[in-house]
Amino acid sequence: MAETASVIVDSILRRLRDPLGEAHPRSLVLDIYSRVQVALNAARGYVLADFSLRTVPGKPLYTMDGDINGLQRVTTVEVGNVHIDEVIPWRNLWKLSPTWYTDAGSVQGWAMVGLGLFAVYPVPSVSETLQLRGPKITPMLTEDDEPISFRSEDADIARDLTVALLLLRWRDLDMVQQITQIAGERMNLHIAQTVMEEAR
Amino acid sequence: MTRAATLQLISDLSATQSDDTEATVLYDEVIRELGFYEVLTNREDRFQPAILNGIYKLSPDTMRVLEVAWDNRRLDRASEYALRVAFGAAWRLIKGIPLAMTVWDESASEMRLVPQPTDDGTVTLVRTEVRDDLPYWLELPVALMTIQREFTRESNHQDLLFATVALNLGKLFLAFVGVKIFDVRPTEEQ
Repeated sequence: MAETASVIVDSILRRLRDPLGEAHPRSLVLDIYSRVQVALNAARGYVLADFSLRTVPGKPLYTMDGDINGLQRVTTVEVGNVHIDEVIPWRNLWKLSPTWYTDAGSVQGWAMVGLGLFAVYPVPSVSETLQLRGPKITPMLTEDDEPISFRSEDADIARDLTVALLLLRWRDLDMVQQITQIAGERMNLHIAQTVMEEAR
Repeated sequence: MTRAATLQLISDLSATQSDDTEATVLYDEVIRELGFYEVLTNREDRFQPAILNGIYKLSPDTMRVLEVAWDNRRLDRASEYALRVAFGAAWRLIKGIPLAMTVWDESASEMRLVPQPTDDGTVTLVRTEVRDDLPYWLELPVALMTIQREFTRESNHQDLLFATVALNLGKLFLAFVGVKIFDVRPTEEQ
């Protein structure tokens, strides 16, 4: 079961040696944690969401913040239970067919065009339902009693990076380095050097 | 989310040391910089009357044109030199179904469709854009990158080390959300 936001905030404030939140208002901690959580989820896909997209005949491009909702990007597409392949990068759609904008048929491929558009190929000749899946845009936490989106073990990294950002405020840059290094090791990323190497 | 939310975040993360007026200007810079990358992408379909002689005016929020299609047929991006070679010296006067587009007047944000369409049609653009209502997963990296600029510039609160760490954290969070920022802008696809 997911923890509530208050548990995470308390934990972060203890790490900052500010258990009463005098220097770090709880609302600010929640705000930063929410932003770290949604970014981390985009990278790791800890929490996925589904969206049923009803295609429109003749329409090849769909917006991620209008036609599709709740997904940061699309990572898997199925029609019925049939997996549809991704075309990477999206410009290969033109190589697949110079007329992919107008080629009509049932959907055989898809691509993300940047982070704002979702493309299907060929253009649906009749409306069909695509099952999209991708990292969920985890909600902004505003209340202490809200459940967080991550499981405890995944929330640890988000909490560490939140602490790093709050220490950045106070220019405790060595601590920022240490914490991002530990978070990086947990994520199997060498990010600490990236964060600090140019600064030194 | 709104620009105000990101500016508040900038103020919070810099412990209110940032200059709000300057941060607003620098925030706009960062958003424009992001427009060179395929981050905030969108499509635009617009009716184009033949009477405009193939001159298409880009909307003000367009940063970079990724693809152009005329009635769902892709147009090649071509230089004026290439058009002169392909269509001859009078390439601007040729009429027919558009096959290519070229940037005609950069300062006026105008493209020219070549040949000039004889009939009305629809121009479809795939483009990057600047906008105030960033998705909220993008606000943190944008705030960190703005902080880098704010604390790099000459001021009474200049702090180069803080600025560099903020930038690198900004790049890290950008990478998390799927944006890889390079030191050199990507060249235009031809």
